[in-house]
Amino acid sequence: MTDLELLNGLAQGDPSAGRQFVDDHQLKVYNVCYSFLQNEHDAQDVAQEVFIEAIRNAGKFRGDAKLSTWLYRIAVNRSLNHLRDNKKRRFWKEIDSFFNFKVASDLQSGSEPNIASDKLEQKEQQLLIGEAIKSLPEKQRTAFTLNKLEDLSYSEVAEVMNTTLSSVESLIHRARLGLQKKLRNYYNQS
Amino acid sequence: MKRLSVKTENKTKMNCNEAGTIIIDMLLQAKPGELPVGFTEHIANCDSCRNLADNYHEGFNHLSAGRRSQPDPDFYNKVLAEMQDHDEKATSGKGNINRIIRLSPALVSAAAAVLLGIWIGGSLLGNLQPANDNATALQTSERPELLQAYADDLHLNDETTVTIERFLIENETTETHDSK
Repeated sequence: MTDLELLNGLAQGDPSAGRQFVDDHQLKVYNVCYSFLQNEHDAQDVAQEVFIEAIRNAGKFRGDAKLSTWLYRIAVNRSLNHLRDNKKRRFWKEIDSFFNFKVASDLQSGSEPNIASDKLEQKEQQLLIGEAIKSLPEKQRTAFTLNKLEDLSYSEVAEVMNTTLSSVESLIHRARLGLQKKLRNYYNQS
Repeated sequence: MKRLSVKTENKTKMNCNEAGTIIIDMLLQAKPGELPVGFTEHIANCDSCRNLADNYHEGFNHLSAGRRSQPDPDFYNKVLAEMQDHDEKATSGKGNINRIIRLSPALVSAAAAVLLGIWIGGSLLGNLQPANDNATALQTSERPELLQAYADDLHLNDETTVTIERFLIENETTETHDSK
């Protein structure tokens, strides 16, 4: 079944088309979501939402991009939305834990004396890469993640982000500079 | 970004700062380039830089640790179940209620804090104005006695006071006549 036939089947509510569509693309969608969210449970939830949106909007797909590009686009947008919602949720959670005096207990549990300091430093250095990528501006982060973690070419990233090739080059270049600066700062401090 | 190939100068000794920069460049660049002279030697002899390189690489690999290579055979059914759940929520408005319930501990805490603040503020202000409270309390029943007591304190009915007042009034009248 071609992409077009698949989409026609989806638009008409054909269950076999739905199953094939999900089975064909689930790995790609899940892995994109995971690259952004860095959490298996969240990636699974968001991947499901991506397919729900795609199945419901199959009739609106104009066919001016590849089906996989369209799915990537939905996956990236959904993942970024999830991260934004998480930020808001974290804000409320912090308020909640402040009033419940959980902050003190969290701090206590994080400073277990039996964890050796070199192990902590090792963990810190490993987590630093992820944290540095997280702190990049959204567009730089998207371009860098799609290129470096999803192995998409610059032109594929441009298609997914609906922008020009030169913009993607610039975004990835700036993302690298930002990451170098952050990692060097850490390296110099330590 | 500085390319690694540019850095291949004839250096035999490399310090940790230079090695750290190269480790980061290697990690972030798209295609691995030629290793600069002295880097391999430095890494072989410096535990700290070797650990840093290992940890950064492990950290980068960790970003892909949860990726799947095998599809979940039950994924389509999960999507269908989620779709049904979405539809049910949309018809019953359960989603909004859930959101309110999820936020309620924080909202209740914030509201309680505001009320507590108002109560503490009110108590503090009340303690700063004790005289007003007494005056208000005395206004109704004890007012004539209180006024009398004030008058006594000021010696309003005292003969001396009356004499002084009369002297001042008369003196003022004479002064005005003189000025005319």
